Parts: sequence; structure tokens; C-alpha cells
Amino acid sequence: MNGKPPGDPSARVTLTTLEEAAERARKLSEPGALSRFVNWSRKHSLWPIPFGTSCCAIEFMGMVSASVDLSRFGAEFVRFSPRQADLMIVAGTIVDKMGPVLKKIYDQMAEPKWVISMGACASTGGMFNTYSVLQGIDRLIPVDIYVPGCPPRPEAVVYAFLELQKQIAGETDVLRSREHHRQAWVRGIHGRGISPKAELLLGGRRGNDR
Amino acid sequence: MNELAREAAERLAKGLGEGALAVFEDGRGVVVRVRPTAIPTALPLLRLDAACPFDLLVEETAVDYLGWAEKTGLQKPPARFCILYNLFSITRRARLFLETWVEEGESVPSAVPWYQSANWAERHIWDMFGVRFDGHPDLRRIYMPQDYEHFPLRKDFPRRGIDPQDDPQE
Repeated sequence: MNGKPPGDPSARVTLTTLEEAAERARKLSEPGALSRFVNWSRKHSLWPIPFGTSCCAIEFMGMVSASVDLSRFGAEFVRFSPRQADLMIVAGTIVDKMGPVLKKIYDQMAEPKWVISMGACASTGGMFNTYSVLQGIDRLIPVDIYVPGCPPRPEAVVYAFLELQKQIAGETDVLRSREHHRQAWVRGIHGRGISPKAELLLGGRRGNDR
Repeated sequence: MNELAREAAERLAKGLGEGALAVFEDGRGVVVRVRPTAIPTALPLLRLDAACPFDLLVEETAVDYLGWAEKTGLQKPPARFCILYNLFSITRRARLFLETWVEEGESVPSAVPWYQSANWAERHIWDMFGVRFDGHPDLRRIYMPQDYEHFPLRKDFPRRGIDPQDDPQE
């Protein structure tokens, strides 16, 4: 040892100069600094809950386990309680009878919350263009990112996750609940208004098993 | 193996008398066609047959033959729905099919008193084809919502459903 500290010198943390410190303080006092900070925290600590009903859930397992490893992006814990999660990943076909269950689980998640619709079935009903399958979960719950594929590769969902992080980073007015997003959605997704089928499902006519 | 089933089928036909309509063999194996009213006699006879007891109801299912003769040009089936019982003798390794034909709105005596495995199978048939089973302990729909009004596996049921709410295109 010749007195130099070990490691790559460029990787070492440099001392902040007074000018830099002043610049950072100025940035922090800018309008929106709090939003940026909150968004930054939120987007790197999303806790996903899987709503896996079919083969997309298998790809989901690939996504959260070692080879692809979603926890690299901050989604460390896959929670199996909606109360502890803020990102729902709907992976699979949702039949009409499952619709109210999906809605209930979604409602149990605390605000703020986000939804990724994984795969063709969750997004549009996919190849199940039939009497018993919900033709896209956006008829029941608001969706932030749709992932195409049947099933999508884990990398595609990771890409969706990164896109969602970008979306979160751009959110303004973060201290308000995201409830207003949902209100906007109820007023009309794609400008069509809430669908008759969704009304039927949420009205409890479907899915009551007794 | 078929020999055992054939003998059992003939014993059954003899035991049922008027209730048995035909005994024949086709691609499925040995088939006994009986009247719906003969089911409560036929099932215990087969189940308790001394020489070859059919102790397992492998499956019970239904087929809708609506428009079948017109489409295939083959012989017109005896009725619209065929209820099919696939019976197996575990001890004697013999298989026998029992079939009975009903029109829409007619019901069939339940097989549950003799075969527990018929419980969900008959609920399935009721759910999908709308054939009722008399004496079933719990004849509710099994897949579709309880208040659903149609029978999706009937040939005249459109794939996208009948209710406007069922239509995926809305």
C-alpha cells in the first residue's frame, strides 16, 4: 500500500463543493421539488401484488425470480395481501365470475395504487371472445399500463414496469389521493362511459354464487 | 374385457325388460340404451352386479344433437340430448356405456344415490345443457353465475352469448 485508498478513484464519492450544495438547495426550493421527491420514492418502492389466473402468472414468476429479477427496480416484495401492495399486476384471463373478485381486491389496496394489465387476456379478453370472459379488465378497474403478448416475455413486463416508473415520475400534485384518476376513469374510459357489462358485474348480478 | 361388459349388458337388458331399448357395440365399446325412467333400476343393477360390479362412474356427460342429422345426413337421433354414463368395473377391468335420450325440458333421474361422482357431473350438465336431474341433492349451476338464464353448450347458443351484456363487443 502506498497511501492511496483502494478501488477505482472515479467511483469514489467526491466532496460536494459549496457551489454544488447551493445548487442542490436551490433545486429543492423550486416548486414541485416535493412532488419530485415523493415520486422518486414511490417509483423505486412499488410493491406488486400478483393477480394471476392463468399462464401469464407463470411468466410473472419468471419475472420476479432470479433470472429477470424485478426487485432490481425496487419492486422487492411481492405481497400477497392487497393492503400491503400498491401495484397490481393482473396476469391472466378474467372470467365474468372473477370480475367482482378482481374489483374487490383492487378496492382493498391503499391509495396511491397502479395497475399493469399483463397479456392479451387481461387487456382485451384475448382469444377468449366468448360469453363468459371479461373483454379487458379496464371495464372494471383503471389500468395504467397494458402489456401485449400471449403470454408476454418477462422482459416485456419489466419494460412496462420501467414505463410505469416514468409515468409515476411525471405525476404532479402527489399529495392528493389518486382517487381523482379513478373518478376520471369512471366518467369514461376511452370516452365511452362505464360499460353495461361492468355495471352488471358491479351491481352484483354476476358472481353471486349462492 | 369386452366379453365381460357384453355379458353384463345382456344381463342388464334382461333385468330391465321394457326399460332397455338396445344393446350394441360401437367406437366407444359396449353401449346399453335405456329409457330415462329405467335409470333408477339400471344403475343399482350394474353397481351390484355379482359377476362384474361396475363400481366406478368415470364420467357422466351430455351431447346436444340439435341439427345433427341435417348436418351429417346420418340417421336422426332418438331425441335432442344424449346423457351418457361411462361406467367402469375396477375389479374386473370392464367398461360399459349407458346412454339415455331426452328432449328439451324433460328430466332424468339422478345417479347420485348410487354414484357420488355424479353430483358435480350432473350439476355441470344442468349448467351447460339445461337437463334437469330428479332427486339430485343440490342441483345448482356449477360454472355460470346462479342467475344466468341460458345454457351455453347447447348448439343454438351463440358463442358470444345471448344477453346484450354478454356480447364482448357490447
